[in-house]
Amino acid sequence: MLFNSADFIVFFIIVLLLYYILPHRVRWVMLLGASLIFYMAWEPALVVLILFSSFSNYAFSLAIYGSKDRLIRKRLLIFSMLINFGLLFIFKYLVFINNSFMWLFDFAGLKYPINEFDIILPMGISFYTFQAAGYTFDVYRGDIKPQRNYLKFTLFITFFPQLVAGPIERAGNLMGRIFRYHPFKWDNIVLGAKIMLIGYFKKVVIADRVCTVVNTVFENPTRFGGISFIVSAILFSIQIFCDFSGYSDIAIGSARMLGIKLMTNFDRPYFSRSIKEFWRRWHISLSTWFKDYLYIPLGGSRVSEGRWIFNIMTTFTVSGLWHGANMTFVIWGALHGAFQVIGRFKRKLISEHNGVISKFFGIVITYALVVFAWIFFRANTVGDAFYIVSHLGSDIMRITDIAYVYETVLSWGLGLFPFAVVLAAIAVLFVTELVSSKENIVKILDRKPFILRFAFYAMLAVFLIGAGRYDNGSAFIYFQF
Amino acid sequence: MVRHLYIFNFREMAVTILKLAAFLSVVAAVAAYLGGKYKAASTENIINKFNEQRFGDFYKKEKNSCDLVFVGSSHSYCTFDPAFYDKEAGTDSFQMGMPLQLPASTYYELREIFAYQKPKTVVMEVFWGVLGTDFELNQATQLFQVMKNEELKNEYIREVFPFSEKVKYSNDVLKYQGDYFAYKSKEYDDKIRNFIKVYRSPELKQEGVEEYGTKGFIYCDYNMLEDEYDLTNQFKELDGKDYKLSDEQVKYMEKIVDLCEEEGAQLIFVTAPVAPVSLNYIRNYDIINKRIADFAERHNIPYFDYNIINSKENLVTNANFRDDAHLNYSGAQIINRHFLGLLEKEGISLK
Repeated sequence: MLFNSADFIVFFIIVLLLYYILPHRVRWVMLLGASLIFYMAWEPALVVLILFSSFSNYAFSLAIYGSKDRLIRKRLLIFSMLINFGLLFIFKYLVFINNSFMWLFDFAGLKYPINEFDIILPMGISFYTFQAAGYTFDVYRGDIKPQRNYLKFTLFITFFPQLVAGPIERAGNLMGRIFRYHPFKWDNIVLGAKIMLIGYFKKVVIADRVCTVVNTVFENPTRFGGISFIVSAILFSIQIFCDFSGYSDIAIGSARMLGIKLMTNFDRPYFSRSIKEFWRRWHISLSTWFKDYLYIPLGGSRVSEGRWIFNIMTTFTVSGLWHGANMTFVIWGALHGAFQVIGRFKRKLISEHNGVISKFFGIVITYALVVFAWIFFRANTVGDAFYIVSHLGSDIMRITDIAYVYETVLSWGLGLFPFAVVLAAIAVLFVTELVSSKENIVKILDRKPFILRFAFYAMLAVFLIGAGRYDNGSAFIYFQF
Repeated sequence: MVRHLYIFNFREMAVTILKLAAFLSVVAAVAAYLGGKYKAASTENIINKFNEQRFGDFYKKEKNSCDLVFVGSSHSYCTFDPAFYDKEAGTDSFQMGMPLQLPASTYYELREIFAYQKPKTVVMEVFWGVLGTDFELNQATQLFQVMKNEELKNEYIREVFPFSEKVKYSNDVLKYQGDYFAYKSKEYDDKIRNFIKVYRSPELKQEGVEEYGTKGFIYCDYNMLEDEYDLTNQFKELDGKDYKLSDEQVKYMEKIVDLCEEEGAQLIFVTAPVAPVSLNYIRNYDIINKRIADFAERHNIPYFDYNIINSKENLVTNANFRDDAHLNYSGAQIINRHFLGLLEKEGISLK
């Protein structure tokens, strides 16, 4: 079930009503049922996989907790991780590996013994696998006690607002909040609705409109030149931010209406002054997962320089692979790792300044690097990505040729009016992000006069109704991960 | 009531309700205003005008005077010219194809047709793109704008529309937004071109005429743009390997078969050709053809696929196409003549 569908709105209203009408002791049962229905609306059979994944983590975490023997605990953890990442491997990476071998054999002129096959990618598998694996790790490290009720544990894994695209929550945060008693509070309803409205604005008005330009250019790069590549890469940076942070906003807002607070997943990432800072602000729940369960166990930064480079490159390359079974994602991750390594050496050579100009250039350079890496993330193949990168300046000298620029804009397929509308919406978003440096826009507006709040949310609602894209209810980009 | 449904005091509640009502009223008023603007723009859409003319002419026709009717997507009204069949085969035919017409729409359109006419033959153009689509709102909206029978429209909405689409259909802003954005884009385009004195380069400009012909046929003498041979060809990435007919559309194709049988009309399936350059791009077209041919065979419906026929007989070339998918008038004439001969050869009478 897509957040941006009428089905979800009706589903959510029913869940919300039931949640506050039912007695506290059965609310979690209703939430579990609703979460499973939410997932099954997409592909009913694959709910078995999520139930199996949660059972495996439930059983292993209990066994780990119950064992006093360090070696047995370690072995149980390894078994559990093998199941978690084995499932992820089968459903997400097996086809990619088979195709890679097929290509290699073909390249070497050898006959490859296995035929081409396809496996359906279960929606949100990377998210719920990581959430479940994180839980088992936390039990192993003694950070939390395991949940003894399998169904309650399953609700923690399948909680519908964050099931298919995060935020990837920790049991320490979410478990208590889901099962705590939440009385009906109008403030929660209003706050949740405001956050959801902002999320829908990002997704339906901006992400779903700019995707036309991005898809047109990235699907047929040989048709276009540098101006189109630069603009579409910038628009993709906006699309993926609005798509993913929009999803997170809707997830956070809907959970908030139920009285449940989810973690912040985005904190104005494009205002970061370094790549390191960018990763503290972008997809925070995934970054912290990798930091806690991969980067730190590898040794983190308190190691030799060579080892640190290995740790950071491994973490970011694996992070790239988490996004998808394609070399484009691996290169994207490796680029971010390399940017961090270069950043560390730069900081050693050049001392940091805190002046306005220095901050501004820091933001601009960081954004440029992030956009550059997005090219690899979005391109269909590594070949396409390199074609785009090598042609970034191909027609830049024609930037003053008005006729050429005009025809180029038209060739992106969006149409001039929708393009003007989406630019206006992006301007609104930019100002919103700009002013919310200390706290989020909802909190800032809450202190402003009623008329200002009213005007802002009414403007978003009008944008949503009048300029939102509803023609094919496009899925969120991160669903594929 | 349940104990935890407590809220604030009365004054606080009244203020909250007032604020919410004011917010919803303002948004609803703006939405209603936009809905009106968007709906008005839909009349500017040339395709809608063609549909209006087509149905206007159809409803003016003398009752039960028509013995051949063509239905299906844009490929139907770009290819099958009733004037040709009337002249060459002595029929009284009519073209009722509409853009992107899905079989579900064809079914309801045919029910409307049979209420006015008793055609002996129904030629349904079957374009694989629409047969593989579960639902599309615009083509249904276009049909509703021109079809008279309100009961049929309501039945269509009730039976075919998914829930989300019902919501969209009930709201003029969502329903006509595409028309308005396209109309406004053209207006902007014209203004900017005049302002900066930029005119379309020859390779992007189509010369010729596209206009409503007679009896539902759309006359067009455009030629394919240079870009459509390669750069912008819509079939470039099409791989038919996993192509399958939509279950929803199969259901309506079966209903069409039953309806024609009940009405005593001979049903014929035909796929109009896409440009040869486009067909060359499509991988596994044989699979696409087989899916449709299998359905036709199962239901004992004659089926002629002009992509297959043309690849063997070279009837039309790229020069006979208005774009990468649709025939221009020169191509339509060739296919009409061949199709008539083919029907005679197969012993299928149109009268």
